[in-house]
Amino acid sequence: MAPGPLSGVRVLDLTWFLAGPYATHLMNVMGAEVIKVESMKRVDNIRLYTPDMQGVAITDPTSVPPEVLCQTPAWQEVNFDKKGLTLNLAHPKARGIILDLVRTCDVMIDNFSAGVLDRRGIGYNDVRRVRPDIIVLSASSSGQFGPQKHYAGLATIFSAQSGLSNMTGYPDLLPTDVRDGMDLRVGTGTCFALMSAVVYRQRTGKGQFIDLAARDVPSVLIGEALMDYFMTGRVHTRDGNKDDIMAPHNCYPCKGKDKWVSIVVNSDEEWKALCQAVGRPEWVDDPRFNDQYRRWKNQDELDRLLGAWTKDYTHYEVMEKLQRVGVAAMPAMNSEEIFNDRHFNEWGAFVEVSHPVIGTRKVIGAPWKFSESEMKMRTHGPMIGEHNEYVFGEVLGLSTKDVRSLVEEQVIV
Amino acid sequence: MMAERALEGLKVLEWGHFVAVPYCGKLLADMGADVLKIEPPDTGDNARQREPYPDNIPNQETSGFFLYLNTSKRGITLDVSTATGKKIFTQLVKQVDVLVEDHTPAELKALGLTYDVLKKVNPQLIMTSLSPFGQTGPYANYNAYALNTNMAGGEGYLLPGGVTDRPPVRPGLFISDYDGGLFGAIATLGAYYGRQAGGPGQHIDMPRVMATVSLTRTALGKYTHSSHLIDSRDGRGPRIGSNMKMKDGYLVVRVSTQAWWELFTDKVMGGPAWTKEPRFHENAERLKRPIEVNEKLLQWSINQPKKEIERKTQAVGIPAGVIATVKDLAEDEHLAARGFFTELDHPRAGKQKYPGVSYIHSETPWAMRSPAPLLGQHNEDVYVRELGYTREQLVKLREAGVI
Repeated sequence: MAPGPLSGVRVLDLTWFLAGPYATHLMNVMGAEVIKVESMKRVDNIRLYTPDMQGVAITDPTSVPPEVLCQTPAWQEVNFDKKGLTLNLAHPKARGIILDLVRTCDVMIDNFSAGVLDRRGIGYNDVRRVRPDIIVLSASSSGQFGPQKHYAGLATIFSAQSGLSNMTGYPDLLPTDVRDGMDLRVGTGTCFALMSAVVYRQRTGKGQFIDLAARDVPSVLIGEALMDYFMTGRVHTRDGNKDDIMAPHNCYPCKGKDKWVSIVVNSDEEWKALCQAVGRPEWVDDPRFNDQYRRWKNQDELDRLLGAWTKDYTHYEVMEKLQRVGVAAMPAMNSEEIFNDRHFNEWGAFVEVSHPVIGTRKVIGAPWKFSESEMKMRTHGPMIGEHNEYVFGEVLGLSTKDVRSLVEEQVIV
Repeated sequence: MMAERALEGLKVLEWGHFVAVPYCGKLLADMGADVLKIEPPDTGDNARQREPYPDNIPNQETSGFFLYLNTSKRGITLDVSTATGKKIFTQLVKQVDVLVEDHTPAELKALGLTYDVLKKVNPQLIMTSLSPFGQTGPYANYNAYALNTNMAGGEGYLLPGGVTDRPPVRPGLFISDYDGGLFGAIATLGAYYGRQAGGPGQHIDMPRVMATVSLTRTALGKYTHSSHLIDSRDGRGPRIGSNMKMKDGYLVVRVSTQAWWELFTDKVMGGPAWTKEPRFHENAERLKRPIEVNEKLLQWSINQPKKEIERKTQAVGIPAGVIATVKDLAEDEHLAARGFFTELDHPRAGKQKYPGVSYIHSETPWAMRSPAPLLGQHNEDVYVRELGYTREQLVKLREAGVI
C-alpha cells in the first residue's frame, strides 16, 4: 500500500475541545503528523469532562493523577496519534519556541478569540515572517471581525445561531439543541477550508490566513431553507421528520423499547413494492395513497397505518423485508447496535486502539477508505506532554540541559 | 485584479443527484475547481423538481434547491446507460482528475463502469464514491435517503433530546447528504494532494452513513470506552438556560457555572429575589430542579426581546445565542458583516441571494463564479468544442436521447 496522501505534512495544533481537534484528526487519518500544544496551566478543557459530557468533573487538573486526564471518552475520540507537548503559551519565552516550531510546520491552527495570538506575538503576521508559506487557520465563534467578533460560543450556541436548532424537532415542542454532531461539523468545515489552502500551496508555494466563524458552519447545511425564505418568504421551521413532498418519510415504532425504523418512499414504484411487502396490495390503488401528492397530503393517516404494521416486527426485520424489495428502510441505531452491526463490521468501520490505562478497545475508524493507501489511526491520544522529548529534542534540536531549564522556568509545563 | 482560486486546475466530473454528490461538487467548484455536471436528459437532476421556486412558480430551471447546490459548475446532459452514452462517459473520465458519484456497487457493475474499468481508461483517476453504505458489506446495495442514513448512523436516535414518546428526528432537512458530500470533498482533496506529490490515483469509498457515524462518534464511542454508556434521547433534555422562550422567539444562555449564573442573574436580569433562595442559589441545588429553574427564568424571559438579551449577555462574557429562524439569519448583522449572503443573477430565476460559507481565505476567497447551469447548457461547449463531435452529430445524439 502507498503511504497516506498527506504523509510529510506537519500540522501545529493549538486548538482545544472538539472542533479544531477533529479537523486535525482527519488530516492525521490521511497521513499528516499533528503536533498538539497543551499546558498544565491550560489543560484542554475536554479532558476535564465527565464521561457522559454533562459537565466539568475536574476543576483542578493538578489535583488528579495525570493519567486521569487522558481517559475522558470524548477527548479520546478526536486526538488519536497526535504528538502531545506541554508549552505555556502565556510565558514570554514560549513565543520563540512556537516560531521555531512553525518553521518546521506546513499548517497552524488555533481556536483562540480574535487577537489573542497577535498579542502574544504568534499571530499570522508574526509566523509568516519565519515561514512565508505557512497556512494559518483561526477558528473562532464569530470570526476575526464584525459587530459580534467578541461573542463567546460553543456547540449549543452554534446550533442555535446557525439556524439548525430551529429546524430540528417538533413544531409543538421546543427547538432541539443538536449537541453531538455540532462540534465535529465545525471540524469538518474547518478541515475542508484547510485542505483547499493546502492544495493551493502545493501548486503555487503560497500560504495564507483563513478566518473561520464556527457559528456559520451549520447554516450552509440548511441552505435550501434559506433559499426558500428569499424566494417565497416562507419561514421553514421544524416539523418532525416531514418532507416537502415525500411520504412515507418518517420513523415508525418497532418491537422493543424505544426501537424505531426509518422508511422513505419517493416514487409510485417504491410505493407498490412497499404495499406488497407489508401485505396490503389494496393500498396501491387506494385513493388516499395512489400517487405521491396524495400520499403526502394524507401522510398522517399513512404514518398511523404503517406504524400499525411495523410495531409487530423488530427494526432489523422491517429493514430486511423492505430492502429486499428495494424500499429505503433503516433502523434508528444506537451505539450498541452500530458496534455489533454486521455491515459496519464487514465494511471495516472499526479499528482497535490501545491505551496505557484504558486498555485496548474497538473504536470508530476512518470515515472513508482509500484503495491504494491505508488510513492512519494507530494509537491513543497523547498523555499530557507525552512527546515533549520528541518535539523539543528531535524536532527542535534542544539539548536536555536546555529543556531542563525551560521546565524550571515554567515555560515547558 | 482577479482573486486567485484555490483549486484552479482541478478537473472534476460530477455524476450524481439530489444533495450529496452535488454538494461535494459545489464545494470544489466554488473554490475554483472545474466541475462538469452530468444530468439525465429531459428531466435532469431530480433536485430540479424540488421547491422552492421564485414566487411559487414551478420550473425545472429555477428550483432554489437545485440552484443553491450547483453554483459554479458547467452542465451537460448524458444518458450513461446507452452504449453511446457510456462511450462518451469514458471519454470524459479520461480528461478529468476526479470522478464523484453516488451509485451502488451493483449499479456500477451493471453499467460496466466500476473503478477497475475506469482505472484502465485513466490510471491516475481519483474516483470518490458516495453511496449510502459503501462498496462492500451486506448493505452495500441498499436503498437509502438522508433520513435513513442519519438514523442508521446513530445521530437520529439521539434527537430530540429528552423526548422519548415520539419518533426520533434527523437534524435539519437533508443533513446526512450534506455531511457525506463534505467528507467526500475532504477525502478528494487529500487524495489529489497525494497524487500531485507523485502518489497514485485512488478509489475513495466514502459511505454517506459513515459521515453520520463519524460525526456522532463522541456519543457512540462511549459504548466501548470504560464507561460503556449507550446514549439515547432519555436524559438529554434541555439544560438550565437553554431554549428560553422570549417575547419574540427563543434564546440559549449558557449558565452552567456558578460564575456565569451569578453574572447573568445580577447583570442581565437585575438580581431578582428568588435567585437568593437556598434552592436556587448554588449550582448543585439548581441541578436538582432544572425544570423549576427554567420555569422561573421563563416568567422573566417571556417579556424580553431575544436579540437585546443576547447582546447584553454576551457583553458580560457569557455565551448566548438567539435560536435563529431563517428570517433571523437573513436579517443578521453578523452574517451581513461577514458577507455571508451574495447575490447572483441566473438567466431564468433572475437575481437571487445565496448563502455563502463560514471561511474567508486571505489569498483564495470563496466565490460563486457562475449560477447553476441550465439543463444541457454546456452540451455544445463540451461535445463539439472539447470532444470534437459535429453539430449534426449533436442533433442526432439529442434525438436519440443519448444527451
